[in-house]
Amino acid sequence: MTTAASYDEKTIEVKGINVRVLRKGKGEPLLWLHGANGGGWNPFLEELSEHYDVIAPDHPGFNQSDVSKQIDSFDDMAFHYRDFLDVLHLESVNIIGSSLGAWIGLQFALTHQHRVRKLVLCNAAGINIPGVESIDPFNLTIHQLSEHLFYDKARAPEMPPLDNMPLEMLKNRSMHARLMWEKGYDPKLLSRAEGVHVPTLIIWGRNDELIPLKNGENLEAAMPNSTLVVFDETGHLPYIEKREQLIEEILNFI
Amino acid sequence: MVQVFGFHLMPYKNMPEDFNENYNSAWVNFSNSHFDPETANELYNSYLDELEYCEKMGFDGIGVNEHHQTAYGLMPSPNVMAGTLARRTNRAKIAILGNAISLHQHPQRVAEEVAMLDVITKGRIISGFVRGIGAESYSFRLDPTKSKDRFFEAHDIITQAWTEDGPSAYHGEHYDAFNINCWPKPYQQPHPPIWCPSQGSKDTIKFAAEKRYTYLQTFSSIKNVKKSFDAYREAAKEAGYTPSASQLGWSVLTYCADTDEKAYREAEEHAVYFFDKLMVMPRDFFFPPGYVPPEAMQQILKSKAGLGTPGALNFRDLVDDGFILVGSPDTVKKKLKEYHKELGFGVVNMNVQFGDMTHDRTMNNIKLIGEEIIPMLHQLEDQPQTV
Repeated sequence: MTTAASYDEKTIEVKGINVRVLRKGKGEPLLWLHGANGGGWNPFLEELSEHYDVIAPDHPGFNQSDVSKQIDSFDDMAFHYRDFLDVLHLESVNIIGSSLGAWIGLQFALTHQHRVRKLVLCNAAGINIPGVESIDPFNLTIHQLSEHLFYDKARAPEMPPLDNMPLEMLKNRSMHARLMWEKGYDPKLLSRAEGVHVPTLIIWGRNDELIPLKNGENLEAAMPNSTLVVFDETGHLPYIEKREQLIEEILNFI
Repeated sequence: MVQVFGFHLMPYKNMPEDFNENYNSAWVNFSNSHFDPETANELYNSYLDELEYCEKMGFDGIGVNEHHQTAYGLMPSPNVMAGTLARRTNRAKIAILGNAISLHQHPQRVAEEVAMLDVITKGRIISGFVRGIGAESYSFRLDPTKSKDRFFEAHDIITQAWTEDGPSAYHGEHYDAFNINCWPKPYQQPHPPIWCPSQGSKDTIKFAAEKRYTYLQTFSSIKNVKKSFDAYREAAKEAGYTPSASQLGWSVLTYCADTDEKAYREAEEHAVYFFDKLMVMPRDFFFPPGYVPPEAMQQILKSKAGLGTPGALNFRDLVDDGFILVGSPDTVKKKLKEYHKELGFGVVNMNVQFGDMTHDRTMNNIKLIGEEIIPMLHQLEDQPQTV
């Protein structure tokens, strides 16, 4: 078994923004787009790296990547990843995104689907269905939010109160706000997704308290080449709560 | 001389008895089902009477401010309040402390309204600009990470609207405007005095010093007031000038009664209501994500420990540290002389009513300040530089 320390860590410059990239494995390139909870290596990526060339950057403004005035929307993030792939000389990649990262992945596919081999969207943010209630993540403390993310509440990590929050967590929280504070969704996203023909696997935790399953169902209905797989007894973060099951789905799909 | 202003927050009284047991905020999500228009009608009118009385008692100016969706203060539009005062007063300056310009979609509207007030009052308006506090990023759902940038751009648009013959244009990151053409223009030329209230933001201090605007330190210990004033003097020095005393303002809760004992006892009652009810909110509301950069956020969180938490602030400590000025007229005069020597302010902005202070007590407070304290403050000589 490989140790987590054996991934490669680099800082690369993408249009003046220093971006931390973690990378490990061989095979098809697989770009991991993390959620609002932040980037870094994790057991899910470790397992994936046994099968793929896993590329795990911190989005601009998150963790150890620079904050940039130029980036405050999902459009900006999508164009950032175009430039990011150019810097890495990658013409196309598979993409897996979780939540906010899935929205970035989908947004990227809207304008650059020729650069996406296959797309895996886990509990994607960005969709609003009028009348379907969802939770406002900014009206909760980080600790309260953490509890909403898991089906099995015992798995929710104890999160520090604001007064003891580590710098990276404050930074992630700030960038999350910069992207989603004023608009937690894009009302045009579903209709635009109708034109994305990339093979897409949509994963949803049935018990997601943050973004309801209905959003996943509507996303599947909108995307012509997509399949929705629903995980039972799973919350907002299948890559943590149902790691093995998700990896199996990914191996079958890619 | 030191100019004296009488300032009001216009708080809602009659907070529910069980507030501290059942609610964790007087802001953002404290339901307006608790608002009673009959109560508020009486409050608005007695509060306005109090400010008008300040003019009668010799205050140089009276002040109002802007807060949203909270029992803390009933002035979502300070310009409406200034409008009611404009025609009921005829000598005192009216200080709007300030318009929360980052919260406005159209800064030109602020330029217009302040210009209207300035013309109506024949130049008695002081125009304060603030960002709006963290809680207001929640109330208006405006991106807290952009509030500072929006502040500077809104300021530029407003001053352009006041000083340039229109139509002119402004193209920024947050605002894009053609046809800036403010009718009316302000009465005062080139524009009403601009004041920057803040609790010590380095950016605000630097900005105010560079622009030669009056910096008004709000709700702080004497130690922090001194720190901010020194930073202002330093920034002014770097900008190549020596600031006048009138560029340094200190805003303080002030309560005078006949004896020290009475003043302390009564002030404490109302201060407790102010701190343990009206100022209560979760830490997250005070400090929304990115409202200040993460590194600065960690520092600020440390320096503002307890803020917004009921019972966290002790009245006696607040008095000792200079957050609250309280005592008999003689005691208050003595303290003011000492603080003036130490700080060198040219403006003192007295919060003459706070918490659930009754109308009678407030009027007596204003009367004592007017009769006994203002004459002394008017005679104080400007302090030499203390940097």
